[in-house]
Amino acid sequence: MRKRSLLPLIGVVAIVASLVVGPAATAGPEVAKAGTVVFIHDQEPPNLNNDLVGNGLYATSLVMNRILESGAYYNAQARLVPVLLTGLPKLIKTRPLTAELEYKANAVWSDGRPITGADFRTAWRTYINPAHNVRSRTGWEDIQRVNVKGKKATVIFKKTYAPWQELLSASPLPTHKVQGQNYNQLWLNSIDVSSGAWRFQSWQKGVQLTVVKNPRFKALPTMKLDRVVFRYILDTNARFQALKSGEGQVMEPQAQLQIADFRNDSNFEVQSLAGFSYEHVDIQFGPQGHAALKQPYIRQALITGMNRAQISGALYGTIAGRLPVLNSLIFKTFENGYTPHFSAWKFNQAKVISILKGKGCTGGPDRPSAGNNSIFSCPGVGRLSFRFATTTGNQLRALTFEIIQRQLKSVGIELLPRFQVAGTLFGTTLPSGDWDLLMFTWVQSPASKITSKDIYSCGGELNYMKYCNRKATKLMDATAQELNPAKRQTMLNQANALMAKDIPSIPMFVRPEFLIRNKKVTGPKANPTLTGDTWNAHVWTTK
Amino acid sequence: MTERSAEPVAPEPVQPAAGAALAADPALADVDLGLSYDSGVELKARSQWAYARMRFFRHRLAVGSLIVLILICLVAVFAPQLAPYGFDELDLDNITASPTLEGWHLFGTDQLGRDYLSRVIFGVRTSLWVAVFVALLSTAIGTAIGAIAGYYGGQVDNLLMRFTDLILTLPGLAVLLTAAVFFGANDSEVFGIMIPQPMKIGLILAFLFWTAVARIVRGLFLSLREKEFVEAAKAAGAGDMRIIVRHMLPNCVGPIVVNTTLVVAAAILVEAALSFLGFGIQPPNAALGKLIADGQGEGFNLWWLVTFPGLVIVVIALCINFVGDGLRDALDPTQRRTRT
Amino acid sequence: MLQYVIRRLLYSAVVLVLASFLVFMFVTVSGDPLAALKITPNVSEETVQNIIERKHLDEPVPVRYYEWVKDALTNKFGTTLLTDEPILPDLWRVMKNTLQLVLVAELLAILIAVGIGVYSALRQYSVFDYSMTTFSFLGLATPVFWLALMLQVAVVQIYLATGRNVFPIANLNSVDPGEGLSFVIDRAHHLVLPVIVLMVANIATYSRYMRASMLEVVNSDYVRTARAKGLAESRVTMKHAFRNALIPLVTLVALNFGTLLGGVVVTETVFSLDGMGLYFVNALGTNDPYPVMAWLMITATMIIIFNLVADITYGLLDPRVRYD
Repeated sequence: MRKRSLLPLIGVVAIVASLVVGPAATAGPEVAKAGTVVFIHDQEPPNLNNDLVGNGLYATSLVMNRILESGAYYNAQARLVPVLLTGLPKLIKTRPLTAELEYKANAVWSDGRPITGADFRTAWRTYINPAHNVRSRTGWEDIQRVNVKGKKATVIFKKTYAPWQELLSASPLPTHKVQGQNYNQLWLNSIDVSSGAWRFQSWQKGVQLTVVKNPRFKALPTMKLDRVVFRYILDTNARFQALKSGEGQVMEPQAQLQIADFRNDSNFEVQSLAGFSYEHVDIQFGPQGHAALKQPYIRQALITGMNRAQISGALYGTIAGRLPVLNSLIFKTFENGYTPHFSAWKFNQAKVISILKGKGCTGGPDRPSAGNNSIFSCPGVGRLSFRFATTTGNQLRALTFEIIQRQLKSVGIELLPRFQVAGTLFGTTLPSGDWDLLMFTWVQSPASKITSKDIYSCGGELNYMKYCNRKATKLMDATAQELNPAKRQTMLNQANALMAKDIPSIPMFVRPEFLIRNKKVTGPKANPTLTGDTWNAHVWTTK
Repeated sequence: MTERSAEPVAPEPVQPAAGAALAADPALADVDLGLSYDSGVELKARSQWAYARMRFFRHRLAVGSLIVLILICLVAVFAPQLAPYGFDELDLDNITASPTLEGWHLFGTDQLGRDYLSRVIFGVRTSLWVAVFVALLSTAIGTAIGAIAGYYGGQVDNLLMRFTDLILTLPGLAVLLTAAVFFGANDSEVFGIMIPQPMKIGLILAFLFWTAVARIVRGLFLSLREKEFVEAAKAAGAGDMRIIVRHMLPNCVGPIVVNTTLVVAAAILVEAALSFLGFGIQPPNAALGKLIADGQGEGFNLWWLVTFPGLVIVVIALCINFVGDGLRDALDPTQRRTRT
Repeated sequence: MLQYVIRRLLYSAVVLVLASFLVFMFVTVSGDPLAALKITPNVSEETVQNIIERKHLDEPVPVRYYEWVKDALTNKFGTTLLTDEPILPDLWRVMKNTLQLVLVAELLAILIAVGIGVYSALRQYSVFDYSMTTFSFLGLATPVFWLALMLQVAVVQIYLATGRNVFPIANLNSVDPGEGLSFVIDRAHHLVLPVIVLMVANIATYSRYMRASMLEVVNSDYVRTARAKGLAESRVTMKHAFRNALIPLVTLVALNFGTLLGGVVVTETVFSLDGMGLYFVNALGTNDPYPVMAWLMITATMIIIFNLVADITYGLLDPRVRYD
């Protein structure tokens, strides 16, 4: 009797054992070698094809930007520099817009085939094929044709496309691998070709992805390391612990207080810089928004009542030092063209009250106080109580809201939280226009100034605020056709100056980005652009 | 097919809707395993209540727990008056202070300098409110469904119990998460009535928690309806409604109260898990699970952010379970006590 | 018996269909699954249109449900919303990892709980009995995720104090786990904390249950008879009492499966383990209804099977129960 009841137990033990050993057999040989750097990251790529919709994630860029290397990329100073190209793409003719690019003689695919102009043409053809679920076709659709001559390609546009130089700097696609393949299913789990510093070796999903040196890469110096392992750890604390205990050497943390520890630890270096995504509070001008928000003095009261410096100081002060307040809706604080037009609105609580009282608003406090509970009502537009929408599950936003709410309450303006999951907020609420204030971030690349027009022009595709200033719209529309970068910059700043008067949206701050490296590894340097912090992997070394 | 053979399960061994932490009911293990609640409970109100009270007060652990619970509830109810600071009162000059007597930051301060003791108190307020709401609502639903199923029997019983099974088939926490993500993330207006977000989480929880009490009440009703006093009432011409409410329900009060108590504990734990995963109660409402999640995001150096709300959850759940245990002994004399 | 099983399965299938429609309703009706694309500048309109057509997003819900069922049945639960990748391979992978974790945790929990339960019952009101009662009350009052966090805190503090990493606090393997035995050891090392966390609540529940049912049996007539016959105490305990006391526990363990999954969701999230729970939470986070549906259907099926297994084993172990 007892023996029989033991049998199933033994069976289960056997199953467990085989389950544990099972994956071991398929894990593949991963011999520890010298020259390995482990890069700890919080997110795993959904697949390796970063061009497809649903991807385009930074996590994928980190790996794939060094496998499908760009013609030219943005370096740590956000300047476009050639990699596979001999120089930056050159303008040949403005009407029709014609430009030329040429790949370096030593630019080859990892299987030995040279990278040629035909590979750029392949990229274009791939992206404009309507059957492909490519994330974005912007720019590519405007190309009329691509003439190939060996390493060179001449690109003729249908119509003027202002950021043509960035477009032509995109990574070429290997013609011999792409042709005849269904691009939607290509490179999902592995990729057998590379034009960059490393090539793909293995991906143990849910755990880590390994890349090894591509010895054929000569466009830049060949990578010194033998391999880089991307280790995916979702839990924040576990990530920091893995870094601290030496399980990994490089990491890009989110803004968290733990970064401060690493600042004080002599074994680590913490780099921080402002990135390209920025928080802002949009104001609704449409019929479903609060009537008061259509009054310029109310919008002025809002921005004057917000101490934006205090917010970024409270959120990031201990980890990133002083973070400048963002005072432009178009350029970031560290960019060349940045002109702080919004700085005209200085934080001044007493002024808010005098603005509101001056317009005949009643019921609010006489002077700002932290414990204030009385709220202003203004003639014709009612009580100053606004619905403030933002995403749930983002702690920094929740904290930002709490600080703003406090600040405005002490001058008699009430904010009611309307936190929603991203799906509802961006899918339903934002487009519906049924909100008063809405805080989120646009993720932008350096060249995407072009999208300012979609966001802020009258009837713009992404203009969910229903804001409209004809003059600013005209200026922004014109930038899409303007090829001279300096002129484009001037026009955008003129538009920004107009918007700073109207206040369709309150820019808050540029989100800081961080990189921590164990000092055993030299070379990693934070890059604020979408090129990714692996941009200079070829110079990384380890002791 | 007899009732027993279809469901050869001892009465509700685990809370159905629960995650592992939520398998709340240790005391149920003391249930007389061979029997359902069909041994019939006839209580003669006055003297029985007195006995019950006596039995409960003999249970020292339960009484002690009850006192602690009452204190916690009082603090939660009078949180605005009792908390040393407002739960959203910022003090940006005094962030991440570890627990100290200075300024009475007994639980320290968080990353915005908010007094953590006050936040925990307000967290208890939200979490307890939700848990009690869940317990009352799920008991009401479960009792109604169980009573109807048990009283009418036959096809009605069959239909309702199949529906109960359907709920039990779903993987509890996962369904809660899904519902919370797709339904419960924000306040919303239904027919012009504002439903605050925590209440929505409560509604979702209640939807999964009523099954246990429904089964218990059904079991009791099935046996009660055969009793003479019910037949007498019927013969006297009393309506179904009157029989159910006046004659049968009072006989089920004991087990229902015990179960309700235990649901409060389970609901606190489930709500904490939901909020911890980021799908439960959303800021700016403070809930205990959410406090832990936020604190955890700031790292283990700020240990007080994670430790204190968790300890409070443990204390509350523990006390409720002890009280529930005491209540069971007091109100449910059919159940043999195997523990002192 | 066979007839009973078939009837149960048929009935379960109906329940499953109903449940799937309900869940599909509320997963798809609320919120726009393509929301993320709405704030992404420069998204290709053609691509969005492709997705809408592929997933029939412009159709009414019943049609979408029908399409989903068709896809699920003929195409192994179909593909994800945006990336159009097959769902099942990923789900298989995480299921294997979770199965490992759960099996180890359950086996250990049962063994320990049976030990505690039997011993507590035989030494009723002893110090051991009382401390185990306290333990199980504590175990059931402690949130799983908090216990996990506290263990992590402890490990980190030990590291900071001594420079030694006692247990990994995340992931299934180290960077270079090696092969064969060293891989197994590495995996086991990584699973120590998650297994402890998963075990605690179960040990608490199971040991209470085991103790109660053991007491029940020990005081029953047939055990008294066995004793009266003069059988050795150990033989009475093992042969007569133990086996019968085990019956309700078997049922409980099988029925506890759904609850266990809840614990897995939380544990895997805290320890960043590539398993079903984390997969599910991530799928919810991306607002993609298809993996969520696939996950729920697979787990619901498993729960149904476990319930059935519970019923059948109960019948096999207890000849008094009959199926008709």
